[in-house]
Amino acid sequence: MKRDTAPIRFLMERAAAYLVAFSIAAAGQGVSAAPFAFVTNQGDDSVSVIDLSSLRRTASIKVGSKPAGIAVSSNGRRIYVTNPESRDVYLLDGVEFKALTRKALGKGPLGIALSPDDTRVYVADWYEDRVYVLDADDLSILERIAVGDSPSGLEVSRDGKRLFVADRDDNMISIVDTGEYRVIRRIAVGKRPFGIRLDPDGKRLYVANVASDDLSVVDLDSLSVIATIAVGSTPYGVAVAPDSRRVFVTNQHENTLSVIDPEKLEETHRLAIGEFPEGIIAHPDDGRVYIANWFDNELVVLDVESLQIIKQIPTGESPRAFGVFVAGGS
Amino acid sequence: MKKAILLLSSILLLFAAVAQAHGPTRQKVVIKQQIAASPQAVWEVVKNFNDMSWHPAVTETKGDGGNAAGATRTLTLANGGRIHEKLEKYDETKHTFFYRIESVDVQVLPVTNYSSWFNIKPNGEGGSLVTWKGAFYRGYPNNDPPPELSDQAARDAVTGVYESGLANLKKIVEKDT
Repeated sequence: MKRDTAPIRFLMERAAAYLVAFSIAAAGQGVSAAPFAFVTNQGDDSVSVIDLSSLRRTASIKVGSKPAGIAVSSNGRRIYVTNPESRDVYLLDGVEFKALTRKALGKGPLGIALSPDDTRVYVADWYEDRVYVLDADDLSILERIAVGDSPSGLEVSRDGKRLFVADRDDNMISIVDTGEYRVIRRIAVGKRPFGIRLDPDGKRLYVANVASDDLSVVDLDSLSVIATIAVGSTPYGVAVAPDSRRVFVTNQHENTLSVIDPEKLEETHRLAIGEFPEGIIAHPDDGRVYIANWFDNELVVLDVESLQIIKQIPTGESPRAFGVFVAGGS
Repeated sequence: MKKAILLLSSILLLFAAVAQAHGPTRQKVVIKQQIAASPQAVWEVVKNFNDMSWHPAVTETKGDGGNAAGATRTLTLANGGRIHEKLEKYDETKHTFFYRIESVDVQVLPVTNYSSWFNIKPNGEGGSLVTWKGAFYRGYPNNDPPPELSDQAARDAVTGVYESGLANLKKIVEKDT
């Protein structure tokens, strides 16, 4: 019975989301499907809410201690934040900008990702070497999955059946079967993989390798590394343009952004972007990439086509924005 | 004998692993110092990567590779501790350089994965604004660090190094000019 009503509930939720989107548009705040970026500030225990129409910080939400990881539901209404120091996960209201639920979790929750249907939250525990599976409504623990050493970046396949985990201190990507809750395959990548991102059609996984200064490109049909592309010093985060024509990598110690041509599998540009760039995401439809600069305390807005910096928006202290911090971003 | 070698190599392996591992929260320290001298005058004192005699805590610097990216230096401190560092970026015209600690005993400086920038700019009043900043993790890579290896201890130690170094640099440069 429960199963039968699920699609209807899903449709109603979608309808509600569209209504919200339309009323926001009607209020003159732009028609973007993803009007906000949510940036974790590890230095002041907050999340900055950035309005992507006005390109201004409009709110700040207090969370747990040393927030790092972030995931935004596809309709932008729910925000999930990991706090490795207070060892908990927060669920925030993405419309009213307030904390809804706190869940104590593990010893060092860091990487976080949502299932495509927004029903499950995956949280990597840096110290326990496992991934928690949480119910996205109440944050209750559904499962625990053993993975490799110091799991960090997470991504979920478009069909929801696979979870990809960057096992930083094993130099591996673990592939988890989300139905069986176990690692079914591991793929060797570069040294100290940290940030990972799927391309929008879900056929490739890009892996930033902090210690080998390169980007591993994993083909998800053959489950093999098809290229290793040299980038700048200490690559940390990856973003992929919605049309998959450009890939962006933040090079932390070099204060640069590598721009990759995913067809030629080579770097085409390297741009000065600001100090200690970290979290990065491409917006689904506004033609921009957003980059959190940890040292400069700002969110850089970059035009995907022209590669020009449009604006630098002040954030809180030490922004990380590790994860999908804009709804539907890639 | 074989056992001893095995033990030794596993200790070395452990050390290598510890050197790479770190906690989930990176720390930052930024210290600025006004100096009543031109950026060029300040630069003259600090510009040689293999000479850190301007810092009061450093008793000896041994360097290799000059001021080219990839150059290394070993600092010996007054207490006998040693810090091994590597130059990553050096820009004579901008009066700036960027380096990393390759290895240090956390008893000497309680940090891991440390990187640092040193930069001198005109302060608009004929003098210089020197900025020394660092990004690093605490000395203890696991959870629940002992107090001497906590985030706070790491920040305090780096702050102490920067403040004492910049105060001394100011003294040296302002006396010279």
